[in-house]
Amino acid sequence: MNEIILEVKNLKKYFPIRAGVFRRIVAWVKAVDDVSFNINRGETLGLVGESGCGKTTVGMTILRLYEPTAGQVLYGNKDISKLRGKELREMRRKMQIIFQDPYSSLNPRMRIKNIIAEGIITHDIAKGREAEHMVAELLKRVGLSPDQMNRFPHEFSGGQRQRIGIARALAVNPELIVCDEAVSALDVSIQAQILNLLEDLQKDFNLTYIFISHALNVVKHISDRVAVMYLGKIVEIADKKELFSNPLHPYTKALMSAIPIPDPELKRERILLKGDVPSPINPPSGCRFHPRCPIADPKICSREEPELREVKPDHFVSCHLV
Amino acid sequence: MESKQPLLKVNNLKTYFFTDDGVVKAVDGVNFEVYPGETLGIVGESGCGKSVTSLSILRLLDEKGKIVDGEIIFEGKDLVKLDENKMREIRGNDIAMIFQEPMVALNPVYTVGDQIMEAIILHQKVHKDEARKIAIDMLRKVGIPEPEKRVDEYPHELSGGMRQRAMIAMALSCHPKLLIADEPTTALDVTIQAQILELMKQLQKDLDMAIIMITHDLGVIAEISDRVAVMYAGKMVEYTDVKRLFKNPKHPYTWALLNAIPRLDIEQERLFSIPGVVPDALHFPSGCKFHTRCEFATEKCRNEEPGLIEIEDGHFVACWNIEKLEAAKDRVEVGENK
Repeated sequence: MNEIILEVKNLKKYFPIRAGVFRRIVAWVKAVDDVSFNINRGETLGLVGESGCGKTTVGMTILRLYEPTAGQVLYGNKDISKLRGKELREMRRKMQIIFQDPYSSLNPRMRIKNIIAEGIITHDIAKGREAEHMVAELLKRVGLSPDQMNRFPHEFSGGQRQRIGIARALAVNPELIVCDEAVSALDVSIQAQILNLLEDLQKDFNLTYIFISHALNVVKHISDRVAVMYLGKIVEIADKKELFSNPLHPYTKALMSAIPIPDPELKRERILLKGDVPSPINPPSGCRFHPRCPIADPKICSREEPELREVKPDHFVSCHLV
Repeated sequence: MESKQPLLKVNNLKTYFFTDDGVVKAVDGVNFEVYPGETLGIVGESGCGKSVTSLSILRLLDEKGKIVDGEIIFEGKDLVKLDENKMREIRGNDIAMIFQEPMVALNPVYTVGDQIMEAIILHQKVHKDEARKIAIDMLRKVGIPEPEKRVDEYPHELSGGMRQRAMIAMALSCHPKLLIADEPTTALDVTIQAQILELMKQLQKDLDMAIIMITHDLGVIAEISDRVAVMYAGKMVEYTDVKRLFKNPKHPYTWALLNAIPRLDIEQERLFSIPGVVPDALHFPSGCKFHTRCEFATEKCRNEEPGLIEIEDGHFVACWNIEKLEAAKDRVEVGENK
């Protein structure tokens, strides 16, 4: 279980903001700013946070869909940003992604047979009849009928399209799948179907998931470990049970107390955060959470940036006051 | 609460859309009441008709949509029969509405202040300066910092949460008796959602207003509602007070939905999933609309549509097989906290 499959070291991804006639760089959006974590083979790491916290950028940079500004992503001890040619293609096969929006992530002009077979053919796994046979098997595996393989994406509902997206990712026998808000656009009854399917597939194929979501309840359900992000940083990372029973960072606590729980008789203490998430262009000094933090200490929190430190075995928190 | 006169009473509402492909029975015989000062939650998945119900109340349907049957009685008047001028006096004045996406609902070329003042000047017949004062006051009430400055800003200058606050300020500026909130927090981050829900509860108390909260999120429903209507495929399947709904759901759809949500407060091994997909509105199934996905369905469910029946005081359910669900309930625990 504890074989490290992916190692992220001090990862940074800044996006330039250009302005003026010469499109000069006037500022940087620090979407991901010094993030480090490991993932073990066969586990699910949940990456949770609100919009703009950098969770999607982390996922895209791991897959090298974005080039990192600084830091390393090591996959099986190889730095993926240095891979070229054949090695790069092999790495792309091993790491796949499932996107949030099943409406815009499937090419509307392609039959789903061709959408799913594209990777199989590109990676020389199979072709012709054999590839079609694989598509049929994949469709069955994700709960669709092989008779539907000649249809176009618009003929399917949102949940079915997400199944097609999963079949497409599975087609090339990946080891790791980044699920970027994979169930966020779905209705509750369909969301449960897809979550169960993802869990079954993980068992059958020994898959590793990075599960990116803003929905804390979904992340709690599917993850083994969870990392909470805020403004480009990981503020807390721990085993799921530990994190949800003993959250230590004030942001994690506030986030958990903000989720409405479907039980009208459950009375909870709610921590209401003031204001909005600040802009990642000019993040606050010191701890990035200090302007909204209910327990911030003006002597230290606005001045010094806290380190992510291990306060208990395998429970890391980035806060001066924990 | 039951002894009071309802503020709004919807009787057998049917709203159909006449499209080129056929008739879409978006809302097909819905009944409910809203009492003064209470919150009625309407919950359901996409396409169940919850939004069309709310748009029907304000008669904001597009030209293809028609209320083909039923009454919407608001303070003794049937809104279905009201002429357009009378309806305009009610919209934004007695009944106001807030929408899911404030960036789409707000006009991008007018300042926030202008848009709030428009309703105040129209309904309260006050002068511009006075209206501006009221607008600034409302912005302050909804927790927008520096309202004197914000009143002259355009919607794009505000964050998502601030825009939703501005829209609430606009809706409440004429002190409506009923506020219809259609997924008001769905587009917002959870910490901002918590702020907005808290604000709505506070304002409801201060202004003694009734709210219809339309959402797909059962957590939000549990938090804010007094009574709840669960909708599926244009029909109401269960209707009762919030505590009973969550503790003792009687309709198989409600029960399955409650078990399908991943929960923060409970450990779940595997989620309960409802098989199949929400039926297409052009081809709703015969009999009970849920029978194609219901594990308890019988021949009767396929052929005969169940009516909404009061099975105990104030608990309405539309199902032929309530006993079967009761027998199956111990398989999965609902609402148990660990």
